[in-house]
Amino acid sequence: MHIPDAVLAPSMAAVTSVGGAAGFSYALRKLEKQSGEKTVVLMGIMSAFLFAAQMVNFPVFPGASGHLLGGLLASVLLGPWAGACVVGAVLIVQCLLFGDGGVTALGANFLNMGLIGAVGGYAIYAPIRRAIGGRAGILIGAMVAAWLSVILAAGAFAVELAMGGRGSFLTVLGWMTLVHAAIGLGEALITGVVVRFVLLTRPDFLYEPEGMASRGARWSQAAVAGLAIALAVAVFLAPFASTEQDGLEKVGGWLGFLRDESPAMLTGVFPDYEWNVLGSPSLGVATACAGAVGTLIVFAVGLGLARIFARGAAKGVGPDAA
Amino acid sequence: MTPPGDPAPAVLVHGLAYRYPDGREALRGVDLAIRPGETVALVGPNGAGKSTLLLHLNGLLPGKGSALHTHGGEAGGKHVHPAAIWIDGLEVNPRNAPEIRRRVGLLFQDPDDQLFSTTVIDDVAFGPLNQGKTRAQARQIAMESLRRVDLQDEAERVPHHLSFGERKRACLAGVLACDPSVLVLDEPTANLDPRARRRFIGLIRSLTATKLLATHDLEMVLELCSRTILLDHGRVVAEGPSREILGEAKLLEEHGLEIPLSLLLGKPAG
Amino acid sequence: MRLEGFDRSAGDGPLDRMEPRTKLVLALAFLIAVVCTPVGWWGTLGVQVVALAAVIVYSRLPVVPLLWRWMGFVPLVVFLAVMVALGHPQRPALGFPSVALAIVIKNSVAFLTVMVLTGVTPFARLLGAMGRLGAPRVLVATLYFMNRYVHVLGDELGRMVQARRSRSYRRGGLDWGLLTGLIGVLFVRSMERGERVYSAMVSRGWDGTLRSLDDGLEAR
Repeated sequence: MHIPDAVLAPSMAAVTSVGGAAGFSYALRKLEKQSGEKTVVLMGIMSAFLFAAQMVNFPVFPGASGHLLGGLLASVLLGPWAGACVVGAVLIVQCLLFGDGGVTALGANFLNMGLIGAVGGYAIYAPIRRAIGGRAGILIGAMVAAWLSVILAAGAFAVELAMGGRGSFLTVLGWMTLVHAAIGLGEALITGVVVRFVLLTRPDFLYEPEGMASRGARWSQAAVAGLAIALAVAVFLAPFASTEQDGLEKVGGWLGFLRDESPAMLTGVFPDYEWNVLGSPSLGVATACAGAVGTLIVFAVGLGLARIFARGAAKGVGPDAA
Repeated sequence: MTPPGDPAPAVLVHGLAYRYPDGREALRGVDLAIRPGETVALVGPNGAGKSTLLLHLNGLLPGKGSALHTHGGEAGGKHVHPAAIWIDGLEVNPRNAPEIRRRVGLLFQDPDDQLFSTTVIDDVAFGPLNQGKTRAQARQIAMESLRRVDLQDEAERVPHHLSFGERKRACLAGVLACDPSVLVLDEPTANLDPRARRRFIGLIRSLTATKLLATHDLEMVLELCSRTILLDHGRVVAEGPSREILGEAKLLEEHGLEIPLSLLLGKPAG
Repeated sequence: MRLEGFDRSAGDGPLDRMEPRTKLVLALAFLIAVVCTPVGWWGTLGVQVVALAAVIVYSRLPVVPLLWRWMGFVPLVVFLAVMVALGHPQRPALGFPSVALAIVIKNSVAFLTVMVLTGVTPFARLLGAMGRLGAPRVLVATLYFMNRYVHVLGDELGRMVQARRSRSYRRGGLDWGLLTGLIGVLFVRSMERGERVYSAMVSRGWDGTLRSLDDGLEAR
């Protein structure tokens, strides 16, 4: 979701521009320290890679296709700060050359996809990786983090809209989360298969943070960690389900406005029942459920994909530590 | 340690051994010498160690580390001998690297690896600018180099819009702009169509620098190189006048090569 | 392909010849003015629309491709406008359709402004201008490399897709396994290419400081 120019309130655009620029220059400095004179060469080529990877279209169902967003993938492969910089470079190019996302919204887009998506996503990935261990930990961690990072980025967008006084926070958040829960599943799957491919072919290309002890995977812990994260996500999202009553009242108020002003046109475009669903408490419940169920699905798929490493280790094909 | 032999050879390699980071042996004691002004071919099957040897000649190997992350620290591989290469009598080591890279021009096989700028002239001027030339000087040198490869009219074009042959010549211009005394060419004629190949061979012939060509194009070797070095399994297997080496069917077959057709038919190409 | 956006070379319209820094600053100022125009100031918005139209005519850019791009942009912006208009503070005063319409128009003007800017300025020039206006050197250089290698990698991706297609006998597109495989291979090849590009630069005497004939790309 690339925010165009005139969607955020001007004050919010200013705040996020300053915040995004500060975050970006911090990421650039961190990165220069990490990879020195090679920085610009590798960042340039990796940005080109991410841009090209986003051009690969995945069929979702006939007539619709989606593509990789890649923020978390970039930070798993290159490290959190490099990942953020790559996302930032891609955002700038998309904004300037293709009009995807506004110039004045670059800061907000970078906050959502670069800092929250890539760096924040990495902060989710690293502990899961450590808890599970081995290549399975990398794979499952990347998938869960990819799925959550997409939802977090959507949530951040809702916050930015709401803080500028545009849109009701909870309603936007609810919808954005639900929609992006679905998008995130695709993102997690693509991220997982790509990470697995790299682990199987060139594990030395994968970002290896210092002090990350490599040891074999612990499968029982993997299962426990999955359940724990799913539970945490549900608990985190649950309050929205209860406070959604406020949202309901607000939406009720709007619906009143809407009916007063131009009922004919709007009811033609948007049938009434849709508006009811929009504000109903079931949206909050649905959001929390989607969060928990989605996490479990991603985990299960991740475990399935990671089994190849267990088999490899059993046959003595290769050491499990990447 | 000084290089053995009296008149300093343009290139002297002595007992060069190198192991890849993953432990495979790439070079196991390579010895060779090239006199100033000589044009020498380096032939051998894929994986013989040709490219690895070339990268050593201007100090790119052993590298400092891998890609973005220097985890482990040993990613660059290891030398068995600390000093094994001299260019014009100057030892190749990290301290001499800037001077060595001035003297040795390396042409990569894939022009897209070398042409990184968005215009041709910018790319050709890159070397001179690194040598501390001013912008005006660098532009002038770059234009001269482009003229030498007949690309002066393409100076402002985008590399992506050039043909493969043109990109290859643009790369050569970029190397020539550094004014090297030793030219090291990796597969100079690979992927070129016959006309572009003919043109590129003519260009190489016109250059006066000492030249080392790593190639599978044995017809070109017969045309350009007085001497041939056959490398396999990281060792020099044979060396001598090109006609003799490339005429030994058994030797060539053993090392994945075959006698060039023009020798079999008894009439040299060109 | 989407790579076309990178490929604009210098045109010969009156705006193409203008100093890139001036164009960049003017476009930014105009963008900020558009973004800051409150919903409901129809007069100001009208002036901005007319100004943009005048610039497009003056630039001699082909109008039809520009409109096609705009058509691609509209669905997204309508969706967002509806979402934003629902909770917009001006909604009670102006009514929902007016607010949504104003948001769509403002976004369209901003979108077309950027398209015109990059339509009359090759990307490398724009980067030079950004550098001279004080954008971080690492960022400018990164974008510079990206601009060059997006073509190389795009071609590589195209070749890989073709190779896969020629070996798959399904009628539809490629499946997810193959597509993710493509991305994986592309990543590995890109990393390897990065190493080679770096080597090639070092072999021409690079010491980590980027020097260029265009001082906007150079280190300060």
